[in-house]
Amino acid sequence: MMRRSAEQLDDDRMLRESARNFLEARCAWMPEPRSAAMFADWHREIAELGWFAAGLPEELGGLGADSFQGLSLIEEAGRVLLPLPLATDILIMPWLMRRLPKALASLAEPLAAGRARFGIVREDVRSGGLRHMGGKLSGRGHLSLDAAAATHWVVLAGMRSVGDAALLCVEAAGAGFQPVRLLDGRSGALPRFSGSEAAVVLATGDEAIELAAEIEDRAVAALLADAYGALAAGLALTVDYLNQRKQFGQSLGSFQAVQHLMADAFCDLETLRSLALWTATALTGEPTERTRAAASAKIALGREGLAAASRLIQVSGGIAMTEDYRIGHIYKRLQVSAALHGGTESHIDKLAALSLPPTGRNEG
Amino acid sequence: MQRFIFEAECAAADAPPTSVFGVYLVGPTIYSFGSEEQKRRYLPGIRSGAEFWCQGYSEPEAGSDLAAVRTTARKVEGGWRIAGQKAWTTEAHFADLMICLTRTNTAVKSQAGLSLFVLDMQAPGVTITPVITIDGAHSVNSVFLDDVFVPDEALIGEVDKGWTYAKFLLNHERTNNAQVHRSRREFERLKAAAALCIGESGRPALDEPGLRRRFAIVEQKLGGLEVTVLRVLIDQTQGREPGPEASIVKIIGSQLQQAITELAMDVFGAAAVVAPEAGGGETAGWTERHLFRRVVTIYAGANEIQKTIVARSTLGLR
Ligand SMILES: Cc1cc2nc3c(=O)[nH]c(=O)nc-3n(C[C@H](O)[C@H](O)[C@H](O)COP(=O)(O)OP(=O)(O)OC[C@H]3O[C@@H](n4cnc5c(N)ncnc54)[C@H](O)[C@@H]3O)c2cc1C
Repeated sequence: MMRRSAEQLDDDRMLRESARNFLEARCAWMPEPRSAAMFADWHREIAELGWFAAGLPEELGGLGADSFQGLSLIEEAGRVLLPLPLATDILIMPWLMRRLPKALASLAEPLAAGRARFGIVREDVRSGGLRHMGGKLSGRGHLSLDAAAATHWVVLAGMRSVGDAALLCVEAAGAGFQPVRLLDGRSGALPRFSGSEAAVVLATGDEAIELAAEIEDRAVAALLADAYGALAAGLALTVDYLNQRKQFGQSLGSFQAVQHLMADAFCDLETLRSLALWTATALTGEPTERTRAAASAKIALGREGLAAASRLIQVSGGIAMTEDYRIGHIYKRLQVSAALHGGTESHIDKLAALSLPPTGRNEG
Repeated sequence: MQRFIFEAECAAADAPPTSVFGVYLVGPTIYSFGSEEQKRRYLPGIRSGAEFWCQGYSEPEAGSDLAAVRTTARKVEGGWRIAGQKAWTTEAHFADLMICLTRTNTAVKSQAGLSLFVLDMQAPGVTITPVITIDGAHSVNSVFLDDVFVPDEALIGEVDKGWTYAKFLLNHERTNNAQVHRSRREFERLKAAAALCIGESGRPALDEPGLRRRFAIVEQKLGGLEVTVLRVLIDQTQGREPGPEASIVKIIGSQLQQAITELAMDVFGAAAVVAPEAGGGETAGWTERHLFRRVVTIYAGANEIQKTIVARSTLGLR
C-alpha cells in the first residue's frame, strides 16, 4: 500500500472533516425529494469549496490532491446519500485532464469553477453498442448517472475491438438522451446519438482501450466509496435504533440473533472497505492489478454490500420498509450502484478471467 | 389440500391473489371460535369476496412483541369503546372490517388480558393514514381508533381469550406465507423473461453460465419447498393443526421469494434500476416486487423469531 506521510494524513483528516461538516449542515439526508434549484446551489457551493479543483494538477490550476482524497469526498457524499453525481468530476476528469492535457486543458478551469460538468457514456452492448466514424457517433449509450446534468460527455465507443475503439468528448448540449428516474430517486440518462453531434476524438485504438479501462475502474472505485459511506452511516444509525427500540421488555440490540445479523453486516462492510482501499491504492499502479482490485470491489458491492443493506432492513423491522426511513434508501442506492458499470455477474466473469489460467489443460 | 391445488391453479393462471385477510385469517378464526350469529353474518361475505377485511394486530410498540398491544377496549352500555393506534394495517383503506386485537384487562400479565373484536371501518372515530413503503406504493396504513364503539356481538369468543385466537390465526398466516405457488409461477415467468432478455455480454441472460447455475439452484430449492409444504398439508389432513413445523415453510419460503427477485435484478441489470414509468416493458413490476420483498422475512413473525421457535419447540434446545 501507498505510504502516506504524517502531513498527508493531517490533510486527509482536515479535508474529510470539512466535507462532513458541509454535507451535514447543507445536504443532510431527508426523505423528501429536493428541487432542481437546490441541486444547482449545492453544486455551486461544492465548486466553491474546491472539490473539483482538488484533483487537478497545479499547472492546470488545481491542488494536486490524490485519488485517496477524492474518494474520501465521494465517501462523505455517500453518507448523506447526496443525489448529485460527483464521481466523474472529482475522480475521473482531473486524472483524464492530466493524461490528455492537449485536448482537455481548456476545460480544466471551467471544471474547477463548476461551469463544466462531465458525464461518462459507455456503450450499451444490449442495443448494439456505440459506433464512431470520422467524428460522428451513432447508437445508444448505457444508463448513465451523470450524463443528464453534464455539459460534456466522455464517450467510450467501440471498445470491443482495437480497430473501432475511440474515446471522445462530446458537448452535451447537442446530444440527445432519454431522462429516466432511477430506483433510488436519482435521475439518470439513456444517451443516444444521431450522428450530428460534434465529437472531439481524445484517443483511439489501444490507447482508447487503456484509458477506457481506467475510467471504468475509477468509476467503480467511486461507486465503492459512495456505497461504503452510505452503509457506514446506515450501520451507525441502526446501532442507535436497536439500542433504543424495545420489544419483549428488552432492547432489540440485546437479542443474540440481532447481534449476529449486525456482526455479519459489519463483516460485509469491512470487506467492502478493504476492497475499496485496495482499489484506491491500485488506481496508481499496474493495470492488471488495478482491474483485478476494481472487479473484486464491484463484486463485493453487489454481494456483501447488498447483503449488509438487507440485514440492516431485517433487524430494523417494519420501519425500514417505509419511504420515510433512511435504511431503505441506502438499499436502493446500492441496488442502483450494483447495476452501473457492469453488473455483479459480469465482474465475476472478469475476475475469473484475470485471476485464473485461461483454460484448464489436459496434460498428455 | 384442496386449497393447495386451488392456489396452484390460481397462480398458474396469474389470477390476482385473493385478499388474504378474509379467506386465510378471519374466516378460520370465526368458524373456529365465533358465535353462530357471527358465522352467519361474516362468512358469506368472506366467501363471496363482498367484504374486505384487514388485520389490526400490530402497533407502534407491539411489533414482534404482539402481546404488548396497548389499544384498549372499555366496556360500556351495550358494547365496547376501542381506543388506540394500529400500525402497518395492510389494505385498511379498502377494508370494510377489521379484526382488531385489543387489551380488555390491564390487571393481568400481557397475553392474558387481550380480546378480539370485529370493527367496522366506517364507524365514527376510525382515521386511516397512509404509509408509503420502500417500493413507492401505498398498501399499509396507520389506523387511529378514537373511542370507536363496537356492539357486544362484535367480540369474538370470550373476553380475555384473544391471545389464543390470535395465535391460531398467526399460525394460519405462516402456512400461507410459504407462497410456494406464487414463487413457482414467478420463477417460471423469470425463466421466460431471461430467455429473451439480452444480458451484458450481448447474449440472452439465460445463456450466461453464472445465471444458469443460479436458476438451477433456485429450481432445486423450490422443488424442496414444494414437497415440504405438501408434507405439512398431509399432517393437516390427518387432523393435526399447523404447529411449529409450519415455521419452517415460512422461513424457507420467504428466503426463496427473496432469492427469486434478487436473481431477477441480475437478469435485468441496469434496466431494473430505471423507474417503471420510463423502463416499462420486460422489467415492469419486478423492481417494485424486489424492493417490497424484503418484508417477507419481517412480517408474520420475523424469521429470527421463527428460528427461535424451531430451535426451542421443534428441536428442544434450551
Ligand atoms: C409491509 C407490511 C405489512 C404489514 N401488514 C400488517 C397487517 O396487515 N396487520 C398487522 O397487524 N401487522 C402488519 N405488519 C406488521 C408486521 O407484522 C410487523 O412489522 C412485524 O411483526 C415486526 O414488527 P416490527 O416491525 O415492529 O419490528 P420489531 O418487532 O421492532 O423487530 C425488528 C427486528 O428485530 C428482530 N427481533 C425482534 N424480536 C426478536 C426476538 N425476540 N428475537 C430475535 N430477533 C428479534 C427481528 O429481526 C425483527 O425483524 C406489516 C408490516 C409490514 C412492514
